[in-house]
Amino acid sequence: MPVTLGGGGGGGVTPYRTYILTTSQTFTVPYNCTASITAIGGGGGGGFSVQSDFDRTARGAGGGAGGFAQSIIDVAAGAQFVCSVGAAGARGGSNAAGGTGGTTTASGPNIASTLTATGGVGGAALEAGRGNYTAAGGAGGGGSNGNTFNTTGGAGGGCVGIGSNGATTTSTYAAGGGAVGIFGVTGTQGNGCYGNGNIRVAASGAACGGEYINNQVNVNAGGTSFFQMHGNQQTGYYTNEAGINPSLGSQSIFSLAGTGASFNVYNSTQPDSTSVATAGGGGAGLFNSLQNGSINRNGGMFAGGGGCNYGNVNTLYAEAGNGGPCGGGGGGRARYSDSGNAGYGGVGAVIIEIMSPTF
Amino acid sequence: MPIYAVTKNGETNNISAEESFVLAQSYDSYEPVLNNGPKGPDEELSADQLLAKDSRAWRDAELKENDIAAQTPDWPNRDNIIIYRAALRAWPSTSDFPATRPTLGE
Repeated sequence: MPVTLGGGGGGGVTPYRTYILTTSQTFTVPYNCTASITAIGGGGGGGFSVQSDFDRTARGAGGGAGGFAQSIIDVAAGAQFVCSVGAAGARGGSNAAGGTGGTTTASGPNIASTLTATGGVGGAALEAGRGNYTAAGGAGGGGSNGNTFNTTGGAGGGCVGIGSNGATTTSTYAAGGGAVGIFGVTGTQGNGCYGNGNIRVAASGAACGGEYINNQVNVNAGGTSFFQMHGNQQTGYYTNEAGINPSLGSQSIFSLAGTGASFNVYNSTQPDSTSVATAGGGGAGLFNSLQNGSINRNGGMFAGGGGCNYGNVNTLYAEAGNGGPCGGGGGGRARYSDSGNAGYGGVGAVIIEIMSPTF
Repeated sequence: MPIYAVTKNGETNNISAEESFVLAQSYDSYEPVLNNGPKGPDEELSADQLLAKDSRAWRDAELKENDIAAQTPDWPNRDNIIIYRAALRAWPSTSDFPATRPTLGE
């Protein structure tokens, strides 16, 4: 069943109803209306790299976000749209890249050519010796045949070791997943890791409209929110501020995608249970915390999951964040045993916004 | 949510769908995709794998515990610590793993 949001109809282009389809189905339009139909590909999964010994280095890159294709068309009540929703990209197993997300398509009356949004590519995983090695973030998926926007998803964050040492004995890098390009431009790239020497980094997932950070310090960066950049927190918690896309106001589900809020956690024994990212917010990075699971590293809708690095020895199952539903890329994972996991990509979606219905 | 790998015109795509939807489309072929969703931490591990996993975690903890000691020249019992660390590193590749743990000499 579709999820129904909103209501009212205050004039302009404020949607009367919004349907978010994350399962393939044939959707019957209930009203004569103008409708915005959007296809978003599945997000790529994060890579997972295991440091087999302290003389090795590990890099788990983030998955790319799904592509985005949107059309606004007039449709009659009873019109049917066949919506095939791309699956989430699988997370990488031990020392394996994440999987590519599935392609999402939507076809039906007045859609001249099938809306197509390909899935994001999974993030790479690389365990290596000391030196200059790179695990690339997965590329974002593409969009085509939309009459308003066709955008490429944000790439996953990459993990780069530089310098004469490049990466030394305890260098581990876990990057964040990318965000969907919902604002008509390429989505934000997942935050990356750029290390010179003895560094561990857990970077956050990308937020829609947020800013890309290439972390060069021995910390995790917090999830970014719209027009905000909160990163490079040395210790403790950090709460991101909410933001609203000023060009869309509150008219559309896509306008919500700036309200990300997430903590980052560094070497903490405290619970981070209040840090769930909301729509558009990137999942927090996690470094050496006592937190199990992944929920607080998950990206909000459209956004990337946070990377997870190292993990306290008592935290056997700390996981990177999954990409947010509707196409977010999964976070990468790196540590020195095979406990825990990288993040899955977010499942794709077809989003139908009913505007100006007549009864 | 079930995932199906659907193939049409030689191209395969993974979609989130019920089988009823898949059947209603004109795909050339399809098959369910297994093990492609979030799982519990140890859902996929056998008992032997769990033991090995816990043993590696213990080894990692030991290495971390004496990491500073090994790098500090005047740390008490440092020579034995270095030998112990070498044994810990080699342990997973020996026949003693995971049943018999290395021990630190006095």
